[in-house]
Amino acid sequence: MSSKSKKSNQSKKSSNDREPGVSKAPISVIFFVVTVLLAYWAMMELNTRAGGFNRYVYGPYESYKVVEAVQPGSGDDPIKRGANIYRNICSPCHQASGMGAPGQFPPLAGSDWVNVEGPNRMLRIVLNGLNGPIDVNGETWNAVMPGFGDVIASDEDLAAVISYVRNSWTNEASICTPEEAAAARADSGDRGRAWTATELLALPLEVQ
Amino acid sequence: MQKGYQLFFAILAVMVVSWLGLVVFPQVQLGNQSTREVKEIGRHYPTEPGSLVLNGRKVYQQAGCVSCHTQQIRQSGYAFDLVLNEVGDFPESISSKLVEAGKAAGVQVTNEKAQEQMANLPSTFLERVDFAVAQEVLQIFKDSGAKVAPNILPLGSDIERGWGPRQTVGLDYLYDQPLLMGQQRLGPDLANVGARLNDRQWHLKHLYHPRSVVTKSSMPAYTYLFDLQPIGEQPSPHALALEGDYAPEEGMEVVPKPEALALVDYLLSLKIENPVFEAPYMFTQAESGEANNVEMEQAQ
Amino acid sequence: MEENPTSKSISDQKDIDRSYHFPTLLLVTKAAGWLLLSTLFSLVASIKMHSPTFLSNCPWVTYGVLLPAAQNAFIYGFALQAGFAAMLWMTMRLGQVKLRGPGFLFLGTVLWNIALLVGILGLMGGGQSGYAFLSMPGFVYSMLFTAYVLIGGMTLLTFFKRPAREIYPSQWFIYASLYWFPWILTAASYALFASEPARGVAQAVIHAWYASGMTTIVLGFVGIALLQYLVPKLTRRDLHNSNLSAFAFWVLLLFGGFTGLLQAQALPAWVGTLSGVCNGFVAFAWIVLTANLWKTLQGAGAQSSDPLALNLVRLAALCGLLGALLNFWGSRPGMAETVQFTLYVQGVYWLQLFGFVGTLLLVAAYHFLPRVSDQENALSGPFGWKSIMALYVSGSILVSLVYLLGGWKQGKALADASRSFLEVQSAAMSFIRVSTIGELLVFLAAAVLTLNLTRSLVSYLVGYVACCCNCKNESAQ
Repeated sequence: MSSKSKKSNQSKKSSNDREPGVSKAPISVIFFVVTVLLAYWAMMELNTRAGGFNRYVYGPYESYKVVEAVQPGSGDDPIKRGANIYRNICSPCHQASGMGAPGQFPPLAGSDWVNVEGPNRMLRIVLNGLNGPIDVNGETWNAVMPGFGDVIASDEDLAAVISYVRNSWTNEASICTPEEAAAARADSGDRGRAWTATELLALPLEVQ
Repeated sequence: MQKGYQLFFAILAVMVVSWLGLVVFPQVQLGNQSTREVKEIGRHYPTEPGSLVLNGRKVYQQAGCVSCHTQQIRQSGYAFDLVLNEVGDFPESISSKLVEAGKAAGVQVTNEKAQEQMANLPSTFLERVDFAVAQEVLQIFKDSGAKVAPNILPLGSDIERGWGPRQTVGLDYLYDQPLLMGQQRLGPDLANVGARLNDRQWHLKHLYHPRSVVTKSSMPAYTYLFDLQPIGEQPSPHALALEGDYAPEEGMEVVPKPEALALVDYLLSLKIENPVFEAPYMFTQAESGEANNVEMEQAQ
Repeated sequence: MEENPTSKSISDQKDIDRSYHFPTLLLVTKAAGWLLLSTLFSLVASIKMHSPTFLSNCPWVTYGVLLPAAQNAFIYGFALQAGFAAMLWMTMRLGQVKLRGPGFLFLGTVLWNIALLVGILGLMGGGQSGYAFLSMPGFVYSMLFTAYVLIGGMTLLTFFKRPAREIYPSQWFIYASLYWFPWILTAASYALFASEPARGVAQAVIHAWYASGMTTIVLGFVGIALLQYLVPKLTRRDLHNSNLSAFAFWVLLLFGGFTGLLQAQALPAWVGTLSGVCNGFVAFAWIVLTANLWKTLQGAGAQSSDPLALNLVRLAALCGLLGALLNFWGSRPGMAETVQFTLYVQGVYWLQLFGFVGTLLLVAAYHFLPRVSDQENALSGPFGWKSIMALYVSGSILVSLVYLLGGWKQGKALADASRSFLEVQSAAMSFIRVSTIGELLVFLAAAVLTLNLTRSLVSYLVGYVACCCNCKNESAQ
């Protein structure tokens, strides 16, 4: 009697103590659909709100381009921006006054290469450099200018410095847009050698 | 997943992915920043803090100020004020362009108003327009000869509260070791407190007994940073000028310990005073000054 | 797993239980002690919010010292230690294996507690590191790591010696948790406390990775393992579908460490967005987990061997699910700016760590400890298990809800720049005052728990000594 009760007690306990098992079942289709939708949503979020994973893009600004565009004194006033670039890159030869150096570097101020309708030829010179004799304001100069296409890598900067030169000192000419700069850069992309004055004169004034 | 070692290697692989994503990548992207020249102030930013400030920072860290105060200014949006700086050579066309710009922004601009704006230069002819509108307006004035500048305005409740001129970005914390940017605002943000509340005595009194300067403050007092001592032959020059309920007994004075002075030095060094590339705003040199006094009156 | 109710397995069960009795009882008792200390710290901290001059002459107990002290005592003292015990229990029960190396485990426990004591004292004495969840001074983490190698190593050794080869879903979670903890501890403490630590905001990212790994993976996985163990166990059913568990497991593991990055605003945009996305995945994994458990539970009410324990497990699961959903909701644009920097974050912390993990750890202690010996329930006493759980659960839920609601209100007020900051502050303060009641309840629960467990530990030791004397006497005769 007592042994029987003990045994039944034991079997009850053992069923209580049974360790849980697990069954495997196929997963419902809805689950896969939701997973795919979730992944799609995640991609969209990262695409639109992650600022291209750029270290300079914070908070409300959407992308690096926007951050660049909202900088005070950039975008709006290429002349000011161009002035900085001119000071660093161009002024050693052409001087801060734009007058150049007699017998060595031709002037930019009042130059008949600058005060023309379009910036096309100027862009080419800055991009690839100039070699050989060139007539400026009726005077012939013989000097070598290196290309600055690699130094001024951004089209905005290139446009800014051209615009600055075209609108400084006594110069009055149109602004050069980044699009124009980009087009000129693309056109003379792998030229790899400096221009000569004759080659330049064959080019149109406006960027095509 | 029925074998121990399979499970182990799978977990290890996921661990490595997680570690690369949130330890190595941020370390490469953000950990190796260096100071940068900010052209508006003409020097490199940020500058390394001095030893007094660092001592104060230690006190800040030890007392756990970071539990209640953040040092992060948030920005929820941005807008532009469009300013006409120069009319240029073709004033006749500008007034019609001003009207056109008004249309783009959805604001009614009459010809008379445009004339008036052109007469008082520089004039802000459109306020708080968004990015797209600002771009459109700039396009309108392109090649017109007029000089139009978009002034960017960072927006957000923190900035409107006067807690700082712009949002804080990674560069601002370059010398923070350990980082004390905080997670909870039981007290106000301190990122720019040195510029907002530029008064040493005020800070000392506030630390000794916050309610002596801000009646309804719920900040605990940090009395242990001060000595309550009998006045000697000469009253200490550093003694706090406390009044009313908060004044010590007759013949006693409250003198800040070096820790308190260092902490205040640190607080006064917390300033967000210049734009950076990531967080631009229109920078003008004379900015603080009067704003401080308003803030302090409010606090009292 | 086949049911095998032979008498052999029953005696095995008793052997197993006996093998872990003392080491885990010690772990749980220590854990309860730290819970008591932690809630005491929170209580004093709240009192300081009520009266600003309370203890203002003592640098050891400023609000900013007590809050991290309470947090660290809870995580390293209570949750991790009780979690170690729970993981040991499940490993042994599921693997049908006796504890290996109880001596090392004992040593590990002692070392862990010494390290923690040094750490908390160091924190209070001015050595606070400034990083939440890692607030103790930097040198403590190597001590904790050494202690962990002993405790976790013994758990893994026990696992590898198991005769029952089949791996139950809870075991995945246990081993992931066991591997994850030393990994993030070494990686984060090396990056933050080494001789050339991470600079600037990189610290914030690494620290958030540690904190979210700690809550979602290390402690969260102990909770999930317990959920998946206790629900089938208490209802005597099989877990519904292991494929669903597997999905939740990998998703949580992959994305869980990335979730906590919304509290640092001064980080590039991608950080917050990535964190929000990961919160979405974690919430979905939690829905899958809960669905799996719900399917297991369906129609099981009448069969349960312990309805109260089952209800508590249900409540804990709900807290876990709610925590994941609230984290996701709080990371959406619009909500994120509102709840950032508010009490909401503490509310989710309480919901996840006190409501979800803590409740399950206490249920586990109740479930595993009484079978240890033939004596009475280790959690019984003048105020037994029911009153402990009533106090603990009501207190935790109250604090969570008050903080969540308070945080939301505080955030709304903060976002409205026309309301002065004092107004914002007083809104938050009224909620903090209510939360003090909840903290008091949890404190009382911890006090009773500690008392009962200490009594049980003492009676075990007395029994052990008596037994030894008997044995000696017998052999002498």
